[in-house]
Order: sequence, then structure tokens, then C-alpha cells
Amino acid sequence: MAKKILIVDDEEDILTSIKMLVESMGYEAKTVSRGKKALETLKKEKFDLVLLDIFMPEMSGREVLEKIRKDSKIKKQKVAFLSVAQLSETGEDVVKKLKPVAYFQKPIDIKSFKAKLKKLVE
Amino acid sequence: MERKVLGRLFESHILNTVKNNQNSVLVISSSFKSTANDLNMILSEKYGKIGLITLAVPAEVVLANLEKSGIDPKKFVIMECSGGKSKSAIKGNVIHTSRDLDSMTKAVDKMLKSDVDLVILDSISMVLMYNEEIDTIRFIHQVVNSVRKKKTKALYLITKDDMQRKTMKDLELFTDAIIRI
Repeated sequence: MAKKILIVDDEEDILTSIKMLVESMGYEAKTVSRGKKALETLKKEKFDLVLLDIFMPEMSGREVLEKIRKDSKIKKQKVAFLSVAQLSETGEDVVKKLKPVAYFQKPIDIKSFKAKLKKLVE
Repeated sequence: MERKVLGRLFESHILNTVKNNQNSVLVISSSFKSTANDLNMILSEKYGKIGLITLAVPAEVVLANLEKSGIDPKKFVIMECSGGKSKSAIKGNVIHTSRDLDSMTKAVDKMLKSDVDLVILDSISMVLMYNEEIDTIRFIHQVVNSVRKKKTKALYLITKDDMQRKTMKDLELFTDAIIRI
């Protein structure tokens, strides 16, 4: 069965391009554009990885991951950030505490993104 | 001219934090306007050239206040962000721009080209008045990166109330220090 990846980003073009990339690797991809929707989806379906943006309206990616880690049903979910945010040292410390499995910086380098994604999922 | 609000302890705390960090956020709990005026005074004593981004106060008022406070206005490059859709233009040491974020981003780049030692954004709260929270945080992130690339410094003012907005919590992810007074 194909591995499943949830992509969370408020920008439609990013969602589309990452979905195409993920599917080209043989994975199943689902997209949502809001943090709240991501949390609802994670409670209903199992995913091998979540790719999570940080700067999003209503609920930021950071808040989404905080909520995931506090929820006994989904707290062990593998999550990687996929964001344009260039973290400061303070920011890196804050993010580390939330235990993401990776931090992908946008714009991504497709080759290294694919290689790292494969390692994370398989 | 007498400083009205900031005590010596806060002054040295702010100066040290700005000195040791590239991008600092200053959270002001009360007397915002007087605190901002005091900041112009204390920071102009320490930094050669200051870029001041003002959204609420017209540049000519800022310049008059500086003179009144005994500060040489030539030490300042003022970026005046006003309503309407005027294209950015430079007159003397004033950069005029509209308040839309694309124009402001371009104007910040122009300001950074004038080799300022410190940028003061007065304020994130005012940017929030005219823009969505998510657009504001993206704009600040862009300014922070431009300041980093230019290897200069910046201080971003915000009220305590606005700092309590959920989205603004993410400021700590990409800025270097948060000062609360």
C-alpha cells in the first residue's frame, strides 16, 4: 500500500506543486489549507508523514504541531516543517522542542527534498 | 530634552539587547508614543545613522520632534508610509511610500541601501491596523531577512496587546530577541 502524506499549506500553488512531487514518488498525497482542518483530518485518518507550513492564517504551523504533541491520539505523528521561515537561533530552539522530524526550507531543492522525504517515509 | 518614560535600567536593557542582536522586538506595555520618542533619543546617541519607518506620524512631525529634542535630523532616514497609492519617492532624507506591503518592502530595501546602522519600525501594531495578521508576519519576516543580508540591525516596536495575538507569537521564530518593557 502506498505511503500517505498530508500536506498543509495555505498557498494553493504550493499545495499543488508539492502534491505533484510527492505523487511522482509513488506516495499518496492529501492536501489541506488550514491548520484546524489538518488536526481534524489527522484524527480521522492515518498518515506516514505530515508536511506542515508555518505561516498560515487562523492557526500557524507551530500551533498545529503544539496541538498534535498535546493530543494523546496523534502525539506521535511524524511531522516535518516545510516553510519559507528562516529561523533564528531562538526559533530553532522553539521548533526543536516540538520534535519535527525535519525542517525543509522553501524554496526547496527538489533532489535533496526527494531524497530526505524517502528516508523519512520508508 | 528630558526623557519621559524609560528609566535608566530599561534604557541599558534595550541598548544591550539591540547591541547584541540583529533583529529585536520591543514589546511596549504603556505610554507607547512617549516610549517611541525616548527611543529615538537614546538610540540616536549610540548609532550613526538610523532608518525610522513611521506609519502613524508624518515625516515632517518626526523631523520637528527630533530637532526639538536636540537630535540632528540628518542622522535619520525617515520612511513615511501614508495612505493612498503613491509610488515611493525620495525627498532629502525622507522616503515616501504607500502603506501597502509590496511598496513598503521596496521602500525598506531603498532605506537599507542608504547604509543605516539601525532600522526602527514604528510599529508592527500600525502595520497590523492596515493588514491581515498573516500578511503582517510575512512582511516582518521579509524585513528581518533583508536586515540580516545587509548585516545591519533592526528594532520592531509592538504594543503588548498586539503581541498577545496568536500569529504574533511566531515573531520569536525568526527574530533574535524580544524585549518586554
